Amino acid sequence: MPTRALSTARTVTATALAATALGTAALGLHLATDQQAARAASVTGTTSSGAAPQPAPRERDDDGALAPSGFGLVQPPLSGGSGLSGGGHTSSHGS
Amino acid sequence: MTPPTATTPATPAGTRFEAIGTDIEVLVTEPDALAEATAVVREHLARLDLAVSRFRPDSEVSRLARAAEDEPAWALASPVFASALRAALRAARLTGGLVDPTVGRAVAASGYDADLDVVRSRPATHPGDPVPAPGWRSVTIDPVTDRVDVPQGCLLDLGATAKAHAADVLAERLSGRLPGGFLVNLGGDIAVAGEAPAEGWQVGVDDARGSTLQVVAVADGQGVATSSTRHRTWATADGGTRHHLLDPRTGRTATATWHQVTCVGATALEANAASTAAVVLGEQAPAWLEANGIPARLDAPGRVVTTRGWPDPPDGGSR
Repeated sequence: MPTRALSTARTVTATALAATALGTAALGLHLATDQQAARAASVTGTTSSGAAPQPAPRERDDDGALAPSGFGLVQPPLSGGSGLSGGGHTSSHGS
Repeated sequence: MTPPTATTPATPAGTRFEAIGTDIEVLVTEPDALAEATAVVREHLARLDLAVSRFRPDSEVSRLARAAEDEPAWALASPVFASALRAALRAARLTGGLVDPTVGRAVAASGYDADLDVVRSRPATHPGDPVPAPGWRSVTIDPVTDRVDVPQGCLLDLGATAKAHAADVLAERLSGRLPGGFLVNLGGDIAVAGEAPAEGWQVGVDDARGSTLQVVAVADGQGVATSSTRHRTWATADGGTRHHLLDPRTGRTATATWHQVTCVGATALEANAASTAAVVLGEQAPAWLEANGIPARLDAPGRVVTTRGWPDPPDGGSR
């Protein structure tokens, strides 16, 4: 019985951890959605209509994986060094 | 951004060469990986050229265009052609058709119907009348068989996106196969993967004369592309010049509101789609880029405009 109790406790702990992880993931999704909504609002000057945010429609990318239909979120680039001396540098000159 | 690691050398190694009609650069953080990385890039670009070049009669794009001269046509695409076409169609979707792979005949009619060196070496001519593009929605590719269907008269021009997509593919491939980090620069379309140098990959935004206007640092998850109306240009008989970027909505050369637009995207493909669309949009470009969350620098005569997320230019700029 102690073994079963321990097992049950582990199951509960694992479930709680999973729930926490799911909650975190859901929170992350909401944050991402909110960021996109805020970004759009800041440009268009509109406010939320109150409708529940919907995930962006997805499409099959060329590798067969599901890909978002809009531009992906991207980290802003950092300001580079004062010059291009040393290694690890290249140029984007247009084409 | 991938944090630098203690094992990353201070000075990455690199090589430059020409292929697919443009400058190629490969940088690696592990110098021992450079030879194999370069071989992988060269081999892939040879396949890409054979698949999508408008200027090779034996390319898949040229053969499909000949088959479509008098009636709709189809072909089974090679993996490289299929991947490049799907990337082009994705760019078209992302931009609402501002980047359109069906502008091939319009580009050719504007005078850009051969390698740029050939176009520039022959006597200037009057550009032909604008040719409307069939539209990217008229091109389909089967998700299982890779059968490509195009309408009558369609000449695909994947140049705007094929290089950028190839940079993404190659950076990921190298990172998965070899140790260290990689930067692949295909004519200004830049993809990175794996660990970055200690200060990130330093990317100079150059003007058409080769002067560096600004330097930004990028790492895994960021692609860079610049579209220019000053780089691929040729003279016309009326004393003017043309550039290679067309407005698919009109079939005419896009108004050169911007000398060049540099964008950072989640991939080089997305950066390229955004920078090309920005040139087509002209004055509307900054708002469109902002709405799509694209950090960008737009250069016009006498002014620099940046969007949210782009580092302040050293010589100022407006937002």
